[in-house]
Formats: sequence, C-alpha cells, structure tokens
Amino acid sequence: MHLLIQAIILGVLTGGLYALMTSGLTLTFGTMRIINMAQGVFVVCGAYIAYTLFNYLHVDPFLSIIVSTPLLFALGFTLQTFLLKPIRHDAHRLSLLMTWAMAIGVEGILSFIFGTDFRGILTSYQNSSWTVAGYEIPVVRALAFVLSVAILVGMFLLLTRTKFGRSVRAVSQRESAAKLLGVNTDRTAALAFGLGAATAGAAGAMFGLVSSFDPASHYDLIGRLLAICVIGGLGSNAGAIAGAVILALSESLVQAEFSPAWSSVPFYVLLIIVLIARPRGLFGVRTRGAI
Amino acid sequence: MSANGALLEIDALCKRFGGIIAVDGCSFSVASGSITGLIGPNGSGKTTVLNMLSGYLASDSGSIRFDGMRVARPDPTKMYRGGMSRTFQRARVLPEIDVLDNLLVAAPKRGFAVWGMSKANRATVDYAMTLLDEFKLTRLAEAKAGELSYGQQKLLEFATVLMGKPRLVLLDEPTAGVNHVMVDLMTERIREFHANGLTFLIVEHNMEFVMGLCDPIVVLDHGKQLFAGAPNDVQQNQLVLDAYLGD
Amino acid sequence: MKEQARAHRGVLIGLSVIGVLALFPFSGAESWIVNIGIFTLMYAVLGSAWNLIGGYTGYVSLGSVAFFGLGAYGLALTFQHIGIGNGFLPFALVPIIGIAVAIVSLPIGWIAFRTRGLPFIIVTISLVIILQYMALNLTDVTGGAPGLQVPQAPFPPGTYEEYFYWAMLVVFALTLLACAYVRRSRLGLMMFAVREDEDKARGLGVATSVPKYAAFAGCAAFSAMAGAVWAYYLSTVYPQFAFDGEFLAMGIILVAYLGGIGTLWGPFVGALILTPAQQYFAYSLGGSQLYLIAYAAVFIVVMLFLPRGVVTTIADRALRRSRRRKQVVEELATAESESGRDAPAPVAAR
Repeated sequence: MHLLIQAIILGVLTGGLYALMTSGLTLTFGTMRIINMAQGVFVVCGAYIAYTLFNYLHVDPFLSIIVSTPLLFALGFTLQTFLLKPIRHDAHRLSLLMTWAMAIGVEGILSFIFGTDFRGILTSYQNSSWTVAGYEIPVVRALAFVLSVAILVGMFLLLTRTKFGRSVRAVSQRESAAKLLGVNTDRTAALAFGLGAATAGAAGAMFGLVSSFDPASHYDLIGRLLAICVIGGLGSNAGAIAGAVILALSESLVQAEFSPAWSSVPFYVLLIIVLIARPRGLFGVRTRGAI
Repeated sequence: MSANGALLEIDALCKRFGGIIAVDGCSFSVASGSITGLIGPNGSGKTTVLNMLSGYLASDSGSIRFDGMRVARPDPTKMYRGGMSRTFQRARVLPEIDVLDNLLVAAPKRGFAVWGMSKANRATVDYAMTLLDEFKLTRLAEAKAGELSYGQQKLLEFATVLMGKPRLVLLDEPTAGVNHVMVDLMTERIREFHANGLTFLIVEHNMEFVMGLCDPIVVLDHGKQLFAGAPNDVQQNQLVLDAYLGD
Repeated sequence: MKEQARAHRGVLIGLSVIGVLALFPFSGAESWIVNIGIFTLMYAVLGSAWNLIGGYTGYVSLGSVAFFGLGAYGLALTFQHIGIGNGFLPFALVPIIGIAVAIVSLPIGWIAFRTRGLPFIIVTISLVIILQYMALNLTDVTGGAPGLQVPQAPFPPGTYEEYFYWAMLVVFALTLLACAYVRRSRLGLMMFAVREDEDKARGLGVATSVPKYAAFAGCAAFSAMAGAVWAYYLSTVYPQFAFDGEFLAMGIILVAYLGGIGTLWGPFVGALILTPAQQYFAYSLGGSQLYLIAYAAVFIVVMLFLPRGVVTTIADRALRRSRRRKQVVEELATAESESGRDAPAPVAAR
C-alpha cells in the first residue's frame, strides 16, 4: 500500500511535467490545426540549453529556464514564419512533414554540436528527497511539478485574460470569423507556435534533470506526447492534463509493481481502449457530420 | 406510403446544442408526389431538421417515418439507399474528381460489383450523361468539379443526388448564391422530375421561388411548426408575417 | 474509345519501364549500384503502397512501416524453423506473407478508422511505436535488440544482389498493377470520393468502409512484401530498422510527395530521385550527423517549392497544353458568360 501511494505521488508529480510539454501541442493544434512533430525536439533543446548553462556557467537548471524560454520562443516564432506560413494553404498534410523536417534538422544540429552521447544534468540535489508523512518526495520532481503548474496557470491566464489569448481562442474556434473580426491570424499563429516552443523549452530543463537524453530523444518523446493528446482529446487543454497524468501514473505504477521495461505498456493499452470506446478522447469534441 | 398519403412524417422532433434549442418539438408531413416548401426566419431550425432527416445529426427525441416505416436511427448511406437524398446549403461536390465521375460515384452498385474493372456499366454512364444534359453540363463532363462556378456546382450537386433514382429529394436553399438564369433552369427541372413522380422538400429563403413552385408550404419558427398551407394562405397568415417581420 | 486507347498506352508505358528496370542488372553495373537499385525499388513499393491509403483515400498514415516490419519479422520467423531450400523458397513465400499481414491489418484498421484526419495519423504513429516496443521486448520471439537472423541466401557473390533486385522489382510491378487497377475502377472512385468529402460520399450511398479497408489492407500487403524481401536481403532483422518510425516512415511519405501523391508513377519518380541522394548523404556525411541536416534540408526544399510533386506538376503542364483541356477551359468560360455571374465559387480548384 505504501508502495502504491508512493508510486501515485511520483506519477502525479511527473504528470505535471508531461502536461507542460503537451500544452504546446494543444496550443498549436488549436490555432493552426496541425500536429507539431517538433515539440519533442524543442523539449530536448531546452534540456541542452540547461545542460550547457549548468556545466559551463553553473547556472541551476531551474533558473536557466529564464534563458531557454525566450530563446525557444524566438526559435519557434522564426521557424513558423519561414517554414510553416508558406505552406498554410495545405497545412493539414504538409505541416506534418515540415515540422518533422524541423525536428530532424534540429536533431542534426544538436548532434553536431553535442555529439550523440547521452547527457544528464547532475545537480547536487539530484537524488535528494523530502520525507513527508512517511513518503519520499524527490526534490527535483516536486520542484518540476510546482513550476510546471505555475507555468500552466500562467498560460491559462494568458489565454483567458489577454488580448493575445482572446485572439488565440478566436482563431482556434473559427479562423474565418476571427479574420473578419480583425485578428491577425498569421501573427497569432506565429506567436502561438513560439509560445508552445517556449513552454517546451522550460519543460526541457526539468526533463534534463529527471532523465538522461541525447539528440534522438525527441522521437520517443513526441510519440508519447501525441498519444497523450489522443487519449485526452486533441485540442483540449483539460484533456492534455488528464492524459499526461494518466501516462505518468500508469508508468509509475507499473514501474513500482513490475519492471521498468514494461512501464509504457498500460498507457498504450489504454490508448487502444480509448480509441475503441471513445475515439474523440476523454475531453474531445465530436466533429463528425454535415458541415 | 402511409395511409394518409404522406411519404415523410416528422413527429415531435427535438434537438438542442448546449443551451440552444434548435428544434423544439417539430412536426409536419410531406405528401407523396408534392413539392413541399419549408420556410421560416433565420434560426428557425430548417437546416437542422434536414440534417436530422438525412442522418447527419442525431435527434434528441421524436420520430421520423419514411414511406410509412419508422426510421430509428437515420444514417446518410441508409437514407440514400432507401430513396431519400439531399443537397447542401453550400454546394458540396467532389472537387478533384471529374464532373461525370461525381455522378457515377452516386450510382447504386452493391456487393461484388464494386470490384469490377470499370467505374460503371454502360447504362449507368448513359443515365449520368442524360442528367448532365438536363442540367446543361454535358460539355463540362471532363472538367474537375472544383473548377465549375458556384451555380454550376449547385446544378451538379442536384444532378448527383438524382443518380440513385430517389423517391424524395431534400433541397437545402437551392437558389442561394445562384443567378436567375440557373434558378429558372432549376425550377424547370424540379417541375419536370416532379411530373415524373418525384417528391420534393425544399428549404428556401427566396420567397418568389417558393411561392411559385411549392404547395403546401410549412412555416417553422423557433424550432417548431407555425403554420402549413397553400402559398396564398401562408402569405396572408398573421402569425407568419409576425414571425418574419416581428423580430 | 479514348479510355481504351489511354489504357493501352498506359500498359505499354508500364511494360517498357518494368522491362528496362529488369534489364538494368545486365548493364554491368557494380554491386553497390544494384544495391541502391534495390532500395530505390523498395521505396517505390512503399511509396506506391502508401499512395493507396494516403494519396487515393486521403487518410495520411505513418503506419505502413508497421506492416513493413511485420513482413520482415514474418519472413525471419518463418525461416528460423524451415530451411530456405535452394534459396528461392523465401521469395515464393513473400506473397503469402503479404496476404497474411493484410489480414492482420484489418482489425488494426478497425481501431484506426475510429478516427480521421490528425488523430488518425497519431494512431498510426503509435502503432509503429508499439510494434517496435514489442519487437525490442518480446525477446523470446523476436530476439530483441540484437535482432533476428534469416539464413543467408546461397547466391554467388558476384550476382548476389541481382536476385533481390528482381524480387523487389516483381513486388513493385505488383504494387503498380494494383494502383493502376484502383485508378480505373469503381473501387478507386470510391477511394477518391472518401478523400474528397467522406461525409458527402456517405450521403451518396457510397459504402465508405469498403475503399478504406481495401486501401489499408492493400498498403499493408505491399509494405509487408517489401519488408520480407528486405529481411531476406539483409539476413538480419533489427527492431529499430524494421519499425523505423523516424526515417523510414517519413521517407516513404517524402518519396510520395516529391513524386506526386495520387499519381501512378509519382512514388517511383520520387524514389528514383531521393534514394540515391539519401544513400549519398548517408555515405559521405554519415559520421558527422550532418546528413540529418541534409535530409531535413531536402524535405524543406521539396515542401516549399514542389508541394504538389514532380509528376503532378509535369502532368498539369502537359494537361494544360492538351487540346481537350483547352476545350474544357473554353467551355467553362462560355458556360459562365451564358448563364451570367454567380457568387464566386467557394470551392477553389487546386
């Protein structure tokens, strides 16, 4: 029982981080109706930035988020402007390849700069944990959880309280109407893409703390992030959070009860069950029909 | 056909979207062999009713009877094969496919006939060409449907839904966005197919078109039937006038 | 009548191309060139197979890699226990593996077709991930990461590649035949209807499940056959290459896009251009990881400047110049002026 609750705690903490990573995907899907296959590589970039700053300038990874966020925002914004905007007419199909090309290109650049060895960010408090009511709470994951939640809340406020946020929601719901209302949809899309990359970058620093990584890690990541979206419902923020927590919980529980090798299994089994029982996802909207 | 000669009967149909009640206990019937009009101010639920009839939207409650038999859960394919087809408010054709092929794909062909070497047999192609002739689209048979003008696409869509030799055709605002020459062509064709036994239910805003063509006319308002009767009666009915002018 | 003439011309072109390809190994090309030829044909098969579900039916799938891998493992597992005879037995079994994998693909398709569009793409990606995961972890069956061995073919070293080249050519010819059939037949028309507007097609009485499953299973069958030949050629099946969702999956789609999705020869042309380029990049830049950047750059250039593909662009130009096309354009113009102006067409021709 103790082990079970311990696993649950760990799962929820990690779920927050996954939710942060996925939020960028939801944002991009909502505003541009595309799957951003480069989301994983943005996370990895964040990890490498944190790694570099930590190893050369001894900046704590959590603090390095202040640097990685604007950097990744700029990267995302630029990539959207030069590579995604030109193909907006057929974005539905071409963007998949384009964002994948971005991902591979960035992976190549990262490989070139850092090589293909696995890296990790090893801070002094790497393995320490607080003990609360008899349960171990790893410092790194707890901090990551708190920070992820904070950023997600910030995003929520951004989307609901600011003009930019209103533009994003308008474009997500009905782009043609948004245009008519004077929303600069191109700019909104670029900003949204940049924002998604920025949050991924922030998540990346924390990701680098909990897991070792190499340039190719994005591939594993994006697979899971996409599956989270399907389970939660593509385009739904609540869904992304739910899916992320489910993923993390299932991994954590299996790891505790059985072996790490099979930790991904229940999640994918769940994915199949969701597809059979409720294809639109837990929080997805039914979009089939006449119009 | 049911005892009272109605080809289509709708009883207490309801549909709500979140907080909005689009269709609120709507009932009316379409007599076999008629050209029935369905009018009403914007938001009265006309297209929603059509969507439910043709199986594109599930109703919350109420019943639909087609040809005397209850249709429990309408489904677009089932309805088409059962003899009811429809057009859409904004013409839907298959854009990258040839005009002729747009028609051929709508021809009934079931079972192993699907795996044959040709797209359709001689008889089907001839029938399709006949329809194209009727709608003056013959010489465009090899154009991609997406290249046609909007009016031509509406005509094409109309022709397409006739391929299955239906009993009832639902037309959703056939004259919207179309110039008067094509409207005349459509009117002619409707009368002609009607004379050959086809029943129509036409949703429209164009009063001249409806009054000149349809009898009876059903008026919807706020999701339910307000009045139904001959064109003259409808035009003089106070409730109808209030509904259109009042808001 | 004109349809007939076009069909005959098509058959002639097809036979000539296949004929030329078949004679290629006799041209004195060295083994490594024949090797490139094998991979070119493999991508042509995979791209054409993808075309069935992605190009014709409009369901973009990244899952054909899953069936490629299943075909590869299928062959390896079969010949773990049976000997390969004089070396030609595995080839004989390739079509059987294709059919077997096609049957297996049906229930998978049932789950996948619960979705459409973007969720569908994600489901197919997940399929590849799940299968790779299984291949890595079910070590009793699949040998895990070290891979599974296929007994090496007893062909003489000088002409070793040629047999595999011809085997892959046969698979390509079959795939091409299937695509050609689809484009002419009612089944193909149903696929195109699903692509253009699935819900409208349903409203026209089209039994949309039929073309969807046919395309999915067809793609699975041909992808599996390519995988089986590949497995035999390499003699070892590794999970990360058999279920390579990263490069193989994207490579397949890129080949189809470069050539022109929805066309008959597009994937072949795409493979012809891309595979040698890819092999060259891997060879010359492999160590430094720069080939990833080169790969990405090619992708991006193709997307930006040739989004409709080589064959489609050429076909369009040829079409525009053809006399019949000019007649149709004229007709469109006269019809419009005769009947007066309408509201502008909301469905733009692409």
